[in-house]
Amino acid sequence: MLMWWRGLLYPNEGARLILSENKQSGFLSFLVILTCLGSIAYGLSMGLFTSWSAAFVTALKAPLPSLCLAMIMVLPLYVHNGVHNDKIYVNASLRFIFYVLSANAITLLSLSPIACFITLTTSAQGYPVLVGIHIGLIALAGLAAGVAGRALWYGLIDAQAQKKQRLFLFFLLLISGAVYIQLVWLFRPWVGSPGTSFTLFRAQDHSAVDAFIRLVQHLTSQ
Amino acid sequence: MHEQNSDQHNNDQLNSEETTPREVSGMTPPPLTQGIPLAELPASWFARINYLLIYRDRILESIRQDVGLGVISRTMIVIVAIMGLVYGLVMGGTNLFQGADVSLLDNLLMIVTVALKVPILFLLTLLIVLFPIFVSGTLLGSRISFAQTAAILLTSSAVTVTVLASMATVSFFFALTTQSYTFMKLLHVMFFGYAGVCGISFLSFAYRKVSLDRSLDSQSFVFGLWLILYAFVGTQLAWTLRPFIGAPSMEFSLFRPRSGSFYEELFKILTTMLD
Repeated sequence: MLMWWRGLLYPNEGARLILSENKQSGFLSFLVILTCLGSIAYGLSMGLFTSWSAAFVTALKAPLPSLCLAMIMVLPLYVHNGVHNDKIYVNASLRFIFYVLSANAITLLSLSPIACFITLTTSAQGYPVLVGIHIGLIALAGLAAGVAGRALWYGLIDAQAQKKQRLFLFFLLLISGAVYIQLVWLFRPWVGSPGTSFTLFRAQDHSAVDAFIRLVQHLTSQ
Repeated sequence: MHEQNSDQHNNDQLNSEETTPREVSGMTPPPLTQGIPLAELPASWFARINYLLIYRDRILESIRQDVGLGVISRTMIVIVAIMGLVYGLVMGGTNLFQGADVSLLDNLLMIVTVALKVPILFLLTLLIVLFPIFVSGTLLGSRISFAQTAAILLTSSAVTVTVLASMATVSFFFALTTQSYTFMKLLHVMFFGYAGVCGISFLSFAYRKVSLDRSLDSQSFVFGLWLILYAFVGTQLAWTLRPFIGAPSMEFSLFRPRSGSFYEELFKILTTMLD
């Protein structure tokens, strides 16, 4: 367990564990559990705005975006590694994705006391600001995960390939970020709008992409 | 069945008989590269796709030594067809997944035609650029035969289409969860661009590896021009073979009338999104 923690905190040791072909090592299970626990803790802090029961449901669905992202991105990542001759196979690709997601989840876990405090002390009128704060905290965790992923990636591949692959890595991180945002959008509500009854999922009238385009249009028309 | 046997026979040849370099039209056989064994293509197609990703050095070494080029080229054509079909199915099904107001028949026709169009796009592009690349490569002094040039280009096309097919999961996810036709067009263009850049980067690496000719490094400007030519032919051909998604407001058609260009349309998409 201590070795896995060290693997998570030190990218060089993480790279060694990720490339290990020993399927019994349990590192992947450790990362999956950590991803779920971190997400559940943050989900709980968001859902508290509505009620305890809503917080419980939000906590349960909080790991879903991360798990779905791993399923969607494992194939592009594996092929990307193969094309660039990195010899990182399917299991290692999966461990890499969950390493990044764990980094995201740990950051969310560390931010959840702040999120919890802000959620509990915000009134119904402060709902838009609360949503904005949660978006900011989640973006911060995403950024931390991106930095951790970048450090780990450079521990996995040789120095000569690093410079060449910078652009490709950036593209994959960008796509992963877009997919994650869309997944978070799909599984809303997270905080729960005051005055509306509790629902597990909202109707899919438009997407995060549409919302983003509207925001860009709004900003460019100012 | 006969074709299968013949393929197996050729593969056996690649694996056992032709393990020594053949003399190519009066040229001295290239020296063996230390430590890189020749390709041994597995029997199943899925394993062959995986082999392309994991043992690309061995495939390039076989091409360099002119061993089993027929089997390698045929394998790459089939990989382009399979992986192109996979991405084409997702791309052609965009309207269906988005729940657009398009009849089921039009949706099915679009899926079938686009699944066929994607591999055709890549193979036709290769066919158009093969001869110019071979001629200018020879003039640059690369000493790579026509069959080797074809094998390199086919391998790089297979890599390109495999990268594209790997993005099918992302395309499918966005097609299921968004309603914007413009966004999907831009997403597919982005994925084709990404796959194209990966493929071109592989082509550049493969050509240098196979030719083992350092003079190519000093001619990198000309080499860069080839790659631009390759990308330009690909995009123009894609524009000619459109529609690949099919505007929901338009009826199904196999090809659209010739008008404008790819770059004009890309500019239009970007301005529409911000309009």
